[in-house]
Amino acid sequence: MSGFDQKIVLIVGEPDEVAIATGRKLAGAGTVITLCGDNGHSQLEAASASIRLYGNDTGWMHSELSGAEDARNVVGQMTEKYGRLDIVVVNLAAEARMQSRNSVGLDQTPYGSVSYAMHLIEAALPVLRANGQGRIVVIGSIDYLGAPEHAGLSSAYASLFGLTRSLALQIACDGVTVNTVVKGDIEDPAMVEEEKAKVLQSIPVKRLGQAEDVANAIGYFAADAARYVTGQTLFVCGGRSMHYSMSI
Amino acid sequence: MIENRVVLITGSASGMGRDTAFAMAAAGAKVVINDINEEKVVQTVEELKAQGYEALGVVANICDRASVEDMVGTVTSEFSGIDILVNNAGMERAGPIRNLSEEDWDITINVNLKGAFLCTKAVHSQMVKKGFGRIINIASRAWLGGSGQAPYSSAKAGMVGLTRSIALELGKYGVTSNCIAPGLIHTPMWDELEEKTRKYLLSKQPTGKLGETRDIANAVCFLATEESSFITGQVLYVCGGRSLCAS
Ligand SMILES: NC(=O)c1ccc[n+]([C@@H]2O[C@H](COP(=O)([O-])OP(=O)(O)OC[C@H]3O[C@@H](n4cnc5c(N)ncnc54)[C@H](O)[C@@H]3O)[C@@H](O)[C@H]2O)c1
Repeated sequence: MSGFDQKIVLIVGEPDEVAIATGRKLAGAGTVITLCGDNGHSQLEAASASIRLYGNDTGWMHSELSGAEDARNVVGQMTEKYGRLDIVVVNLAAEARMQSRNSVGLDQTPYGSVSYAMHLIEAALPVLRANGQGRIVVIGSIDYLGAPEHAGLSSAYASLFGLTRSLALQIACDGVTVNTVVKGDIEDPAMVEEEKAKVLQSIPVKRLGQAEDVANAIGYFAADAARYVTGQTLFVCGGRSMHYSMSI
Repeated sequence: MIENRVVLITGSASGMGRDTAFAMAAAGAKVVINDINEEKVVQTVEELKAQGYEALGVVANICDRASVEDMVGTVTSEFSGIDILVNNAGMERAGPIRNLSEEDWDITINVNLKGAFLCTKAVHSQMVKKGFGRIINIASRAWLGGSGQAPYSSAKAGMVGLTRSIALELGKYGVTSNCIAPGLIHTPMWDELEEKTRKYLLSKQPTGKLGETRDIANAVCFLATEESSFITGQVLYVCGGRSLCAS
């Protein structure tokens, strides 16, 4: 991947496998990564350390991931430290999943994550625009197409979908692209065999995804190579999205 | 990576197919230039070779089954087999439905859709045997529909159905099938349009700009690698956001 040299990347949200794989992919291509999450310092440091092995110095910052002021502060810290910001990866879908793990009702809808995503993008936009070639990549989940007992979660994801499209139209002229990478079923050590077999039935490629699969697609959207692609939703799901309407 | 992969790109003596061939060759692939225009095939292959790339030219009409089978036979014996197929050859007969003839319909469907089917049919079994394959179909944003574009839009929508069906059928063999839906791209055809038409079309572009053929080449390169093995049956719009707004 070319054109990434010394680009400044902010990955916001849960420092999970996808965030780490994305960090590794982009760090390996020469970017400088900062992870930002509401996790404990040791977790953020451990995630950063595992990215550092692949490239430039990787930093992290703690944030409450809540409210407009916090978002402005996160972006402010980035520009203070690096003088610029080129690529923002929003992994708040994972955050939303964490929040709603034990809930079935709409009252637990993780809108907090969505509204933080909006605040963050709002705060980052002027900085990205200033470069004339910024990239925002939002990580979504296939659950937005509908999933029983996940009404809250899927409606939160669906709002990220609307967010990407509207925002893309608004800022297309500035050379800033916004795209969503929708992740499908990613290998999870906690998944029992029986559950895995059931999930595999609905995946045409007959395997579960790896965090790297998602990271590769993020790498494409984040690259100069994708400058004419904006507002799009790419499913990285082994083809499972084909079973659903509203997925193209 | 696509190093040493053999890629067959139909209609690649011109436009985005040609640019894709150069991009893939630069990434280390062996490229097969197919087109009906013999002179341009020869010229493209010469240029590729002059740059030190491995290339083979095959003149064939993709609407003709026997020619397609011969082409695939030639490529398979010259190179080790075909790993990546890019169904790119296409053309359009446009106009209001009252002016369109049966022939307009047939040729548009044949080149864009039947050609993609015949090529896919001819190469897929070797991909299945190898456990790796990439089928990348160049459709168009116009598959969403367009006034005056009945045959073209139908053909491109057909390609989307073809892509998805092949993805469902061959996914378990390591063969993925995806569509790229280009929007406005700067090709010689664009330069031939009237100033007024160009202005109008550009005003509908969220980016205010045209795409370049290399934007399509970049998307093909991404979908052609192992990196995209968990992506299948998808339509990737490379259109500067044009698929998001009203015409
Ligand atoms: N140019 C655009 O803006 C645009 C937009 C959306 C989609 N597309 C699609 O992208 C593809 C490439 O477009 P382009 O603008 O580069 O086109 P182009 O006209 O420059 O090239 C297409 C090539 O296909 C060849 N071809 C036609 N019929 C053939 C046949 N029967 N067998 C073999 N080769 C044949 C032609 O000789 C030509 O060289 C087409 O499928 C087109 O429909 C183009």
